Amino acid sequence: MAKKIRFPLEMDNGIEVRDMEELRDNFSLSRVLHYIDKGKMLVWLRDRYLDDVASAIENLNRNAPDFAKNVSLIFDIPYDEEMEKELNGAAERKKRIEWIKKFTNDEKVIMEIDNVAFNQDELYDLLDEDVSKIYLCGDKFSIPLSKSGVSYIGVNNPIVVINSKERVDWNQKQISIEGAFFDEKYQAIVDGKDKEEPTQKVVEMIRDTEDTVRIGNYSDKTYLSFMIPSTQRQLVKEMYEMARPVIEKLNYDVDKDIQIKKGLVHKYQLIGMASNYLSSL
Amino acid sequence: MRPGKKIDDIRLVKYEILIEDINSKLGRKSYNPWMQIPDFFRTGEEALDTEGNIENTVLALIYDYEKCNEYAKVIMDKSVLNLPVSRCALRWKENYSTYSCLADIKNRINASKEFVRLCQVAEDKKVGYKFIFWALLILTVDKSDADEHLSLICDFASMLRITDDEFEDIIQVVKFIYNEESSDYVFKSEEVPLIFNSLYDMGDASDEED
Repeated sequence: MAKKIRFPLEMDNGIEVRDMEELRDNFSLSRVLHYIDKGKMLVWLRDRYLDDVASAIENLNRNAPDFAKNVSLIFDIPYDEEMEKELNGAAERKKRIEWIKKFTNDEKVIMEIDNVAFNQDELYDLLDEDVSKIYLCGDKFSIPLSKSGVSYIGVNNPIVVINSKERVDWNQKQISIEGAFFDEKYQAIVDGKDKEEPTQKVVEMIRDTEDTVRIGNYSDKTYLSFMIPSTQRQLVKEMYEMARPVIEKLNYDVDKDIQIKKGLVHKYQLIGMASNYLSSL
Repeated sequence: MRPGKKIDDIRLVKYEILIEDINSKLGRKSYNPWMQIPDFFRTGEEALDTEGNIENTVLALIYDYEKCNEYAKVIMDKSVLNLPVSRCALRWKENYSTYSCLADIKNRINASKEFVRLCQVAEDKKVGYKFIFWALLILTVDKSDADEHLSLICDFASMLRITDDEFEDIIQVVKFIYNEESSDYVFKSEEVPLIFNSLYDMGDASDEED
C-alpha cells in the first residue's frame, strides 16, 4: 500500500508544523485562518485523525464576527488583543500585496511590501523608521532632501517632487532615485529649460497667430507609461514628435469648404441686396 | 432657437455626416474577413436597435467623454472599430459598456490591457489602426490637453505594435480627410493604405456636403 504523504503547515518565520503540539507552539492565527480558507487546515487535521477538531471548525459560521476568536478557542489558544492586532495587520498586508500586484509582479517588491509607500504619509513613516530602501507606489511623492542615505525606487513610475531651485547633488546627499519622474519644475531645472521660458512663450504666441495650436512635449507620465518597456520609450517619443507638428496645424474648420463661396457672396454684396432694393422702391 | 445656436447645430450635423460617411467607407472593405459579423463597438441608431445602449467606449481609454467638445463627442458616439467576435471582445463589451466605467483609473488600466490583448487575439492590426485613426481625428477637433492625449495615442500605438511607418501613414490618412495631404506622399506600409483606401474615393468630402 502506498504511503500517504502528510504535508506540514507553515507558520510564521517559515516554521513547519507537523502535529497539534507544534501547531500550538507556533500558532499564527492569520496563517491558520488562511489555511482554513483554502481548505488545507481540514485536510491537515483529518490526516492526523483530528476529526473532532476538523468538524468543530467546519461547523463554525465563517461570516460571524467572532469566527477568529472561536478558531483560537478550538485550538485551545487564548484569544487576546495581540492576536487581534496580528490579524488586522495580516489583513492589511494582504490588501497591500493585492494592490501592488496591480502594478508589478516583481517578487522582490512583494517580499518587501512593508517598505512600500503608497502615499506621502506612509513615506514619512518609513523615513521615521530609518528605512534605507523605499519603494514608491502612487501618483506623486515629495522627497525630503534633508534625509540622506535613502534609495527610492518607483514601482509605477510616480512623480517625485524635488523642492529645490537648483540641481541637487545626489551623491553628496546620498540619495538615489530610480523608476520615477521628476516633477515638471525640477525637470526644467535639470534640462536647463527654466531660462528658456520667455522664448517659448514668444514662439507660442507667434504660432497661435498662424492658426496653429501649440502642443506640449510628450508626457511619459500617462497612466499607460508604466506599461511601456524602457526599450520602447524612445520610439514612442519619436512617434509623438512625428505627429505633433501635423496635429498642431490640423484643425477642423467646418466652413473651409464654403469659404470661397462665402467670399463671393460678400464680394458681390448679396446679403441685404433684397432689402436695399425693396427700400428703394 | 437662437440663430447662432441653429448654425452651430447645422455645423455639428454636417460633421456627423462626415463621420458617418467615413464609417460607411471603412465598413465596406471587400476583403474584410469579419464583414458579416455585427459590430459590437458602435453607437448610433443601428447599434442601439440591436444591442441596446452600447457605446464605442474604447476611445474613452484616451478621452474623457464629459470633457470633450461636441465635435469630439460626435466621433466618440459614431465611430466604429469593427471588432471581430471573440471571447475577449465580449468580455470587454460586458465590463466596459459605458463611459462611466472607464472614469476610474484602475478600470482604465485593466481595460487598456484587455483591449490590447483582444487586438492581439484578433491577429489583425486593423482594429488598432482604426483606433489610432479615430483618436487622432479627435485631436483635430478638440485640442484641450492635446499633449496628454497625443502621448496616450503614441503609448497605445506602441502597445499595439504599430510601427513608425504605419503611424505616419495613419497621420496622412487623417490629413486626407481634411484635404491636407501632401500630393507627393508615398505610403510606407502595406496594410494601412489597404485598410483606408476606401476613404480615397470620398474625393473632397466637404464638397459632397454642398
